Amino acid sequence: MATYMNIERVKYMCSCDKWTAFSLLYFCKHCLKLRCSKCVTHEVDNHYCPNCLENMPSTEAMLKKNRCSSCFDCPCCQHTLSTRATTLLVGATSPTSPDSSASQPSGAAEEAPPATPKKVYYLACGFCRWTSRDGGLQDQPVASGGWNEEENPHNQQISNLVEYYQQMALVEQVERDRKRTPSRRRALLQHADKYGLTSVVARHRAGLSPHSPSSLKKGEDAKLVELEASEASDDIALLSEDYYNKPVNLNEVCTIGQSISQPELQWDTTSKLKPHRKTLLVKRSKRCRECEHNLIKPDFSPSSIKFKIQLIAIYLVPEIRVVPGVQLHPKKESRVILTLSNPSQYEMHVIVLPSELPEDVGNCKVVLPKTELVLAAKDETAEFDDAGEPPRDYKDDPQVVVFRKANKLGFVVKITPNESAKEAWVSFMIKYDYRQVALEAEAPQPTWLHQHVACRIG
Amino acid sequence: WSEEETYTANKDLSTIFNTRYIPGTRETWNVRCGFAGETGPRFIIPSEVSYPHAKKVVKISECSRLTESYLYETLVDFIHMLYFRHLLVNPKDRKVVIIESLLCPSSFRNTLAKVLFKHYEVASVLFAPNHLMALFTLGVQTALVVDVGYTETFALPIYDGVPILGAWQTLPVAGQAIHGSIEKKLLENCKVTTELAENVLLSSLLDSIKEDVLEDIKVRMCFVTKMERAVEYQNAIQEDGSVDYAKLPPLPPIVDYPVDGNKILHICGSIRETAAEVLFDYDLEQQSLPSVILDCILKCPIDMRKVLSENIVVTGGTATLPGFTHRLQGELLRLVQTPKYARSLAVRRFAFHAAPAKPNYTSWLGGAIFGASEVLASRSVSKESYLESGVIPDWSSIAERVSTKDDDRPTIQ
Repeated sequence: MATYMNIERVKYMCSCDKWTAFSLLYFCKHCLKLRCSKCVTHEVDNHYCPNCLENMPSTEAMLKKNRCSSCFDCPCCQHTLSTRATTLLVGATSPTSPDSSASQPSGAAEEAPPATPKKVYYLACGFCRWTSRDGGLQDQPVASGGWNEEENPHNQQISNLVEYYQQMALVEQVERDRKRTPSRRRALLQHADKYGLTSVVARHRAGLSPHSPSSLKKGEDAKLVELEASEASDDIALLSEDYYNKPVNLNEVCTIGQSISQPELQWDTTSKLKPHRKTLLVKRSKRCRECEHNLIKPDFSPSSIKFKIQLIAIYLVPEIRVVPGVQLHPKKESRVILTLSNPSQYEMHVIVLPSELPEDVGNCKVVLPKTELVLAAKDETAEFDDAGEPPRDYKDDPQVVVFRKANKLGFVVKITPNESAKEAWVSFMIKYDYRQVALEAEAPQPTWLHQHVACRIG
Repeated sequence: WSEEETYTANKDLSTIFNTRYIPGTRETWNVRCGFAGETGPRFIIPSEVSYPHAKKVVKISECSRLTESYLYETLVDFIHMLYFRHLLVNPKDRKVVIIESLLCPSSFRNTLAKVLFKHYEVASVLFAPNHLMALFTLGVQTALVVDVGYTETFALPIYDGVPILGAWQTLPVAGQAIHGSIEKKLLENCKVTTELAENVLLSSLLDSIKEDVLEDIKVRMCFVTKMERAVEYQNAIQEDGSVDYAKLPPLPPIVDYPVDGNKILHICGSIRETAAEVLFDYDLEQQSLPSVILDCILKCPIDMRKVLSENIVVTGGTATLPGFTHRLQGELLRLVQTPKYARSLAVRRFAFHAAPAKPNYTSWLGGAIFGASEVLASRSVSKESYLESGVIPDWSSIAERVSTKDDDRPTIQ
């Protein structure tokens, strides 16, 4: 009724005191509390590629920078690229460029008998028609893999820097340790020796300019990386005359989105664009913050949408929906039908109580049913079983319970909306008996739980 | 080594400085995220969170002006997206480096720290100033770092690894001002061809142009012209403010730029060439990008000035415009010979460093290099100390810390 399209209509109060749509809530069986996505800990479960649905172990994903090894994204429009096969003539005739011959149909092979057709592959975007040939890449003889990726041209320089600063950090650490624990010099010396810095420390102990980094450079530093500090230059290249004379072809210039999609390279012209590997996605498991039990644990396989553990509120907590089509008039009492459904396999008793919140979202005067409502157990076969057993007589008060169907019932509340409010919200508390689902034969003990609910009536 | 995340949240100075230039337009700053020890950020993404249920997109720069709890909620969602959509790692018990501007409001960084420590339970957070971090990519100790970002230009000298806070200079002119200048010029005299008519004035069809269109125009066809041509442009401006096209040098070619699927803008060469002139024009307080750099040098002690002027590092997205550095150098050389500076400033040479990165992620890379070293643990605020004290030390309160623990100086050595 109001669950699938308009989930904001009925909100439950989460244990963190926030109103959240019912279908987005979890229910921790161990703390017996509702949890929203902000009061659970999210954890990365496993990595997978959204295109080929291939699983990747997390260590491998880390190494590959969270990118799939076989799927590529279009550098122009970020759509997934597909691999195309074509035949290329190789043989007696001089090897022709792939651009001219690959587009010919394979029938061309018969006209030139000495040439042998060879299958080659290239990547093409089905959306914007970009192909790997536009990026100046040679066609590959194998269907997957084999595409080289361009590296950051500054890799060597950056790794030198990283190494240099790591060593500076070590020197600093040794110095600090020495300063803090003067009594344990011997132990420290061993510690320093581990990093090949004995003589540096010895120098410091001898009182030879301990703070100057030059003492490190001069002494034994076979192990210390020499860093070439960057030289500033005042010879800055002048802008080429092409900028002033040449017309700009917009199709050849990258947009900012295209260029920052590969931050390390940031191409400026489209002819340099290279396909980039598809980013992986993750499956997440969710844990209760209080008891650290898993609330959601997805199935390992990326193509499966099942869960190993799923403690979703819909399956465990009675659900309230609003029957639509109510005409509300300010300051006039009207009858609104709410439905209540029982998700558990046991009979459930629900009492509707007025809200006890100090700051109430409800802005209507509401008359709630005073009797206890009894909900039949959920029976999954009942829907398919037309005959079924006759429903038990619950001896309902017809003034309160309007209808009853399987595990669901509709009850009446009387609402007097406020004049000033734009939307009529009703809030109340339900008290229900929750029974832990157990494998043992004996019926579990019921626990009475309270839950605040708010509904938007109109 | 440990894999720390490094976010560069180049927090801009929106609330203080942006009022003079195109007020009311949207503001973004892109966030770069990745792992320490890597050669570049994994992702550069706009700092906004989209809520498909509510069908809205919330920009973090907008909600930082609103209440703190709203900012907290948005940051929780944003960092959730960073971790589980982009970085794909568990945030719990990880070390985080955040590279921020020195002018980042305390309320913002406190809220960010609260989100990271309380909600994501990270092991430690280091807030590092972006100017200092830029030096780690170069291996030098002394430089004048000029960050030409989106809303403002921020120059800060660093001598022997120590930022000279007394000499910082800012100017509310940067990328956003270029967008404004393009918009103004387009609305003034740009011709449009539509389905119905040819060569209509753009201002008759539109009152304003969307900022992403302006950014696209800037990135794809604008450049910074050389000194001589800029002077010729200035000479061509007549007394009444109009431009005498007869006096101008031959203009760069016109570019046809499609907008909205039904209009074609004919963007003339003078717009492409002079869009970035706003950086070098003097504002009401007689300030421009070069004068800010010279003032910054002037505020430093006299023995540092020569070294600083010969070690200039330009970072920030606006610095990627073609011809930017060459023009800046030319302007500095010209300005230093004007009477205002010729006497007080004896430097005559301006040299620029080239970082092993694109200017728009230089300080991120510095943070990544710094984060890969072991000093990170001793420099950053750990979860225990945060939960104990509940505050993030501000850089203005560093003096207090230095007096108690003299080795906690936030410098290289």
